Amino acid sequence: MVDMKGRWQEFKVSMRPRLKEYAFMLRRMRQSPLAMVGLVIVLVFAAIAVLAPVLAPPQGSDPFMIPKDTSLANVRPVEPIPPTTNHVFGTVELQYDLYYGCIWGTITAFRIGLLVVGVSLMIGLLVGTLAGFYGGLLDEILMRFTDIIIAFPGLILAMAFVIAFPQAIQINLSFMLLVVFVLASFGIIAFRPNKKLLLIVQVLLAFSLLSIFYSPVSLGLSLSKLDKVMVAITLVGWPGYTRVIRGEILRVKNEDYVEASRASGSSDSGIILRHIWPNTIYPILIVATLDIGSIVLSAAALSFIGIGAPQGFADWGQIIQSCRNWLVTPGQIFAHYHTFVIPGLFISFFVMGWNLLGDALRDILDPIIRRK
Amino acid sequence: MSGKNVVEVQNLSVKFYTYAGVVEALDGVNIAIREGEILGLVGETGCGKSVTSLSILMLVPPPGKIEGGNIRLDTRGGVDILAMDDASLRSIRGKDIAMIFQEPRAYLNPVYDVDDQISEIILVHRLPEFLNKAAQTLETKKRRGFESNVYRRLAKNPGSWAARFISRFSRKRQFQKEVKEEVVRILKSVEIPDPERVARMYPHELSGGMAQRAVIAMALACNPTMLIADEPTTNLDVTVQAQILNLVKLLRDNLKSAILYITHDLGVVAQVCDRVAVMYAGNVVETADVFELFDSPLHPYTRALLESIPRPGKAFKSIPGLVPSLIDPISGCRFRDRCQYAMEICRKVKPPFDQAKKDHFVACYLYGGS
Amino acid sequence: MTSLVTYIIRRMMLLVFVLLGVTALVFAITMMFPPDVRAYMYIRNAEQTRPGVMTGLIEKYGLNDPFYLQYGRWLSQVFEGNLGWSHAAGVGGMPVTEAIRTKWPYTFEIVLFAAPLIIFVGIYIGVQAAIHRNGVIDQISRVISIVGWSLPSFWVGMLLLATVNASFHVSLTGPLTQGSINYVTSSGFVRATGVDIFDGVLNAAFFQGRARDIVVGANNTGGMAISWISDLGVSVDALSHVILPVIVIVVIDMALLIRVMRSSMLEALGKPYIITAKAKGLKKNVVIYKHARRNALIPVATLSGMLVAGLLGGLVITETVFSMPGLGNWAAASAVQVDIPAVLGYAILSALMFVIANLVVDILYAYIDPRIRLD
Repeated sequence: MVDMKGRWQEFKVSMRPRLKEYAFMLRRMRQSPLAMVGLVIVLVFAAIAVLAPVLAPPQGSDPFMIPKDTSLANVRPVEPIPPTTNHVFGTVELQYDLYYGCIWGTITAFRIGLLVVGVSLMIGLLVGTLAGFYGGLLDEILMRFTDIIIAFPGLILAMAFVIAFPQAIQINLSFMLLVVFVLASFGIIAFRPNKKLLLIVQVLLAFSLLSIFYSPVSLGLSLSKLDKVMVAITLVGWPGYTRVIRGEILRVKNEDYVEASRASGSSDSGIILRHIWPNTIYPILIVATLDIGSIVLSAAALSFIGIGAPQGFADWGQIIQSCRNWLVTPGQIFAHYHTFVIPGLFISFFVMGWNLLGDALRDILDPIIRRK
Repeated sequence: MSGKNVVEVQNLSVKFYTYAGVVEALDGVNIAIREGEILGLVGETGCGKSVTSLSILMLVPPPGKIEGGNIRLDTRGGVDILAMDDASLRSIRGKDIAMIFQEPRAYLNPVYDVDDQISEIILVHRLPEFLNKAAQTLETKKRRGFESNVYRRLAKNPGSWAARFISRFSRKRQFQKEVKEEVVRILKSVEIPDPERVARMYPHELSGGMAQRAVIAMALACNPTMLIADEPTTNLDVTVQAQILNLVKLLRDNLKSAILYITHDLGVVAQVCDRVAVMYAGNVVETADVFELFDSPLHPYTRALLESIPRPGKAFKSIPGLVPSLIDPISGCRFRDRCQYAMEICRKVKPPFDQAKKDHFVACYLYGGS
Repeated sequence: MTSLVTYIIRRMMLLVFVLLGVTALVFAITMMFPPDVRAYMYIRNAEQTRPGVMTGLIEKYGLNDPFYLQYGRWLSQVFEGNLGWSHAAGVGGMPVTEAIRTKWPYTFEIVLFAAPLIIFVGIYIGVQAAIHRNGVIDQISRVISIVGWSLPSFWVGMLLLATVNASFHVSLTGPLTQGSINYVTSSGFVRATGVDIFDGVLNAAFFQGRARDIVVGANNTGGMAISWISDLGVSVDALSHVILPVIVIVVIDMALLIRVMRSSMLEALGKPYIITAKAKGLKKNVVIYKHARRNALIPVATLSGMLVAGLLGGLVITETVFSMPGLGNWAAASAVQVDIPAVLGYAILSALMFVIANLVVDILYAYIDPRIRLD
């Protein structure tokens, strides 16, 4: 019979130091007023996002398309209208309700930030860990590749990506296979299974390499404009994480506990999961938190240029962009200030909240890192 | 080894105001360093040795604060260092009292070479001397003229901006050459081979022993009356350590400097020190001549320390218990919970630091003082 | 010294490698477009944009061939100096090379004023914030850092434009007011550098003697007589238009620099050699500026280099907001209008700037920090 009670006691005891760390972190956080402000801001936005259907009930099939006020549209079809009782924040061009756009734009912002950061973090983590842990030729290749991506003007790649990818793309299946199998073979080298599996993988790799020249199979996939923007930003965003994690791993790789773990027979993946990652992820978390803010800014900037969410979509950047024409002459600006001030405030506070949080994390985690 | 004091630390008290509470790092420390003598300051990690030495030069970093006591500099008429103003403090640091630290390459600025760093201290404290010397050299070479006159004028007013300017920006002038020669001479005096080459090297290019010698050279550059050495050999190989220790002894013999040598290694103490002060948990518990201390240690802690030195054939003995926390410290003698002779009074009142035998001071009720 | 040369050569090779990688990547992306759009990459002059010519081009340049053939062909084109035809660059379009040549001064103008401000003022504030930790300057700079880094650049730009419009009833979009544009495009005005601010001053100083036409503005907005005063007036006008974009960039980038400088300085001040410096009897200022700051500047140097490279590569958003006809604006327009040669050309330029900046930073690094001596 498994001694459940005993095991639970063991677990509690082993977690105690970690819980003490977390308690210490929370206490430090409470002591810093800026950190609390950041946390509050983020929580407020999260609440708005969660309560969006309540705060601004969707009308129509797609809740992310801002409803138009058709009655107003008949009177003044295009010009934005300042706040009134019907429209708390006013309307933007073509009589879209600004309040609705801002509320649902919060969800869009969270979606963009969390998805993009999440995926680029995973990619960057994988590449950086492989490069840092294994070193040698693998490190060289991966880091050169990373350097190319970094040298890439991110905005331009995003733009090129968005305009290049048609609405519904035909993904070259063999290309996809190639990518998948390159990654898989690296992963398999890391986890060292038996030789037969390795051989199979290499055969498939060769096959996909060859098939690139013949493109026999295609797969259809439809991406919205915003999705393309997100993919593009992800593609240029992951190298940041790669460098950070690689630097951390290089620092930690030669520590004694890694040696000890290896000497006691752990596999590479075991060492990475149990020893290396827990000691190296803190800086990544800081970068990720700060990144959420800057990614939302980039997405807004792209929308502002015109590549991004389509007209009428609930996205802060898009809303501002749609009213650019109305801010040209001096007199118009006062009449239409709401169209860019209000969404701009939403963006600024959202980003500020995450930045404050990231900064606070950095201040809190620093002594912990140093203590280690 | 005369009995004249160079520095007297009396009743020094230092507190650290941290997140976790107020740490009473030093609680009435008494130390006297004498002319031409190496005083060893021994104790476990955390007992306050480094804080004591930093306090002498008022270098205790925040959140530490010196809360009480006085430190008399007897070579300057017994003036209290703790009451000095900033300018006077700066004139002492590096000149009357110099300090060297544990990891030499960490304690040297990585972006400047050895020559730069040693010249720096010379130019702060010995500027007029070298200005005059340069003027002298020029005059004897019959090149008396504008340059030597400038030097003479500046020597009379070394604090002026003109003097500071010239010391910072001219590289090829005569007096810079004089300073450079002095640097090489000092490096040679601490037994650094090929001193001209070493002077141009950067800290990361030096080995541990070489770097420590360079640091010692820098400390001696202005002929200080006292040198504080905070565990200078702890991070070095044993062979290198022996060389440095020999060098330290040479300094005492040749320059008659007083040296405060901090260490946790009793072996080093036995090799190099003339007198020893033993610290425990923020107090000095015993001070005596080194032979006296090893022959007849009085304080229970010193006894236990000496007994715990591993010797072949002897059972391994350690001191039971842990060093008490210095936050909200226990009353009375801080060693009482680990002392086999602890009495009632030890729990209540801290024992005074008194003379027990000739030139042998202890803080323990076993030797009177209730 | 030869180690320096070999180092530079090695980095140059890296530059080539990175450039090839970047262009290959963008080229691969553009392969998703149909051939007639891609044909613009090979066009040299306006003649070739006529409809009938296009099919001929498609054949000639084999735009239906596999990727590597096309890429190779395009590379050889580039070496001949032909970067293609950008239809988004202006009315009627122009070769990409000419677009770069004419637009670069406007971007350069902004960077010229912004970069020193960001770097030097940022360093100063960061150092002061670190020295007087938790003091007034520190608190203010932290707030500025957080807020500055959180603001969308285009929003700040719009706010500034709106405020200036409202207060002074003048619109500061574009590089010059209309009157000045007429003035500088007249035959009497010598375009020495392409940068309006400098050209105005240069004209005032050196080119007075020439016979020049008197300009009458279009729409009768009034003419300007030729004189050195109007020349300088052009400079002042250009300057006033450049101020706002510079403010936007400075606020946002300086925030980052201050933060990095501050934390780097705090770290340097906590190092052991600072205690040594104090123990030597050095004055506080000497300890701070000579010892701590020099070490603290090392990571900041890297950041500054990257910052300037990023700026030079094109201030896409800012130029779009202020309608400055620089590289960034061109990039944005070409993205929206699907102008492939422009996108490619801009990508090359950006990557070039990036790698050169990297190189400069590395050399600077090796110069400042003796621990990094060109391994």
